[in-house]
Amino acid sequence: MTATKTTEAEMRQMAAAPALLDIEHLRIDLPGRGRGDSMRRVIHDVSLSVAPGASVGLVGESGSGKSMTTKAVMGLLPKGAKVSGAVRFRGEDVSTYDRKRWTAYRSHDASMIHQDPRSYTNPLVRMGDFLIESVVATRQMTRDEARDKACALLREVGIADAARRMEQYPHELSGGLLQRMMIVMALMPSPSLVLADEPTTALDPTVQSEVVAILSEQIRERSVGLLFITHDLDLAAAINDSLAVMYAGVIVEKGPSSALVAHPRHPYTAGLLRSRPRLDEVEELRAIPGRPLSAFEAGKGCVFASRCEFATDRCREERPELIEAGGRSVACHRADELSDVLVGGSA
Amino acid sequence: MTSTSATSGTARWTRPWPRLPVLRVIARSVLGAAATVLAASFLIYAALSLTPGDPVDQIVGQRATPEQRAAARAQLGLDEPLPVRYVHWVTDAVQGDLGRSITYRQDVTGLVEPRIATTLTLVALAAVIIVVFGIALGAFGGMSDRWRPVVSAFVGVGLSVPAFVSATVLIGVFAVKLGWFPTFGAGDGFVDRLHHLLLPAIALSLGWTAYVAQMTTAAVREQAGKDHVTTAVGRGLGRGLVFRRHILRNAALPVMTASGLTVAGLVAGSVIVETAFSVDGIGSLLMKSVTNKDYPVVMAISMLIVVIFVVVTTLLDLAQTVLDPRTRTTGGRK
Repeated sequence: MTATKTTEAEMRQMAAAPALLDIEHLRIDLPGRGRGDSMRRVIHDVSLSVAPGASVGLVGESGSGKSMTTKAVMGLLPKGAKVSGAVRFRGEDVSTYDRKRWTAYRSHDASMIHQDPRSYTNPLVRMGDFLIESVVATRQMTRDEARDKACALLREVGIADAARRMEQYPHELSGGLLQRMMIVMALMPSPSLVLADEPTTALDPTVQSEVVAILSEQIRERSVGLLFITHDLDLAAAINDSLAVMYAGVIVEKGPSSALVAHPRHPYTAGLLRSRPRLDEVEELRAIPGRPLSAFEAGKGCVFASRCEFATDRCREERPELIEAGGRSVACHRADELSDVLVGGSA
Repeated sequence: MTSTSATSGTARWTRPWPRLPVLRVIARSVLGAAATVLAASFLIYAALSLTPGDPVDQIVGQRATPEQRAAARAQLGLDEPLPVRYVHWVTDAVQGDLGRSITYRQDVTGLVEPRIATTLTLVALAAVIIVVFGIALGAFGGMSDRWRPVVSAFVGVGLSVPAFVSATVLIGVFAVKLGWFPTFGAGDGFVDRLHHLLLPAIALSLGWTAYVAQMTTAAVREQAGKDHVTTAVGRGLGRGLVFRRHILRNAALPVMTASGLTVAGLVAGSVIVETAFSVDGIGSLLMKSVTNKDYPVVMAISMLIVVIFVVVTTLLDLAQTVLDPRTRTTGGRK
């Protein structure tokens, strides 16, 4: 069985370096919106791990289940969600956490930076109070210690007038400033893992690169583990050690960033690389045909089969497992035959 | 300004005064309130003089001669045109003279004043019941799926039963059958007064409690689903803290407005309940005065209700400014 092969490989990898975060065959079903609706599958199979101090980029189109993956890691799935598989933090399954452990985990071990800083901050709470509330409420620091730390961190992310900014309310700050505040918020308890869910999507393009640079610098300096969620493959490759590409609730390819971009092994990754505009050459943009599928629309075959130019009958009938070989993993029946056909880009 | 050391982070952190021009905001609301009261007084005065029925009939009787009528009319000042009469009334009212009651032949101030305490106690009691139970029920309904049907059932009953029906039922059960409460009167002394007014206050507050509970449930549910609550939960904040700081505090704005307007409307609502429980307060006086076409009294009580309403809404506006930082930046943007 191919399934056991994958697990064994991952076990060996885990034994070598105990993963900080280890997601194994995660599958999530959410209850339908209306009453009596059947469960909707939002994630079919996600396995990935983040080593201490390492950064992993999770790349996929909207609706591919990236955000749901982070929600599962933080225990923020909506009521009634059915989860199978495991999310392990330092080898401990988070589903066994009691309320006290969840509090410690969320307030200290893992932090999350959300997509849209404006909607994810309480409009009635001053930035200063917002930054310190978690560490103070969980008695990790006194108010004064927390304020000092917040001020110091604010200056590190390039906010000079920290004391004044802490007096302000979210609506008085620009999006870029607010997202830098969120980075500070995430770093306040000195976590060992940070999840960033599309942290720059809601920002102006000019501000995006600045915020990303600040985030990756802070993460590297502190050797914090990072799971960086984005739909931007280039961005993810630029700041992460390794990448995982997700499509319709399935991880289709994993590997070191540079290798994955230079030699994609899954047709979807190759399609993504091909469909991005280039600055140095004028050529026709080749988009992936069809529209992105949601996880619950996927049939029994390969989730990408309906849009894949290489799909065979087998692809439509049988879902390929994620198979590891030489530090790369790919979920494609024809990966070996296609390795010379698929063209990558320069990272 | 207290925090001058903006660059040194280790400096003691003190909160500066709010930057809103407090005096200007207050002055503007007070002026607006005064204008509202004045406009309302003219409308009510004009409306009362247009109502059918002649107060002169009340004094001289149906069979009086035209001469007698004219004399009475002149005595009451009714022979002058409406604007002139209104200006007279306003000038007197500002000086504290609200005129004389036609039926009681007594100063209106003397009639209204002793009854104010009774009605205010009743209204205050009802207001406490409404705010405490309304918000508590609403919070349960908003946060717990198990309590929600119970709360909405109460809301349905509370909103659909009119005050005079609930008054009758309460009197029948608690006053007549169980004998726990007196059936009429306002009582003497503080404790006795509470004892007398508790049942009327419950009757008065029932519908409004349901209304506030419904508003609170909706506001709490809306806030609980907001993204910023996800942030708070994801940071390991306890349930109590998340509820107080990130749900209830944000839900407080609409809830406060609803409860405030409700309380302002209670004086008007006391008309029915005071009549049902034979409590001699402002409400029952208004009822009698309307029947007797005792316009000076009706005018005075109507104005009292208007003033209470305007004061409450003005305070609500100011409280809104204090509670919601977003409403403060009206002057300069960002």
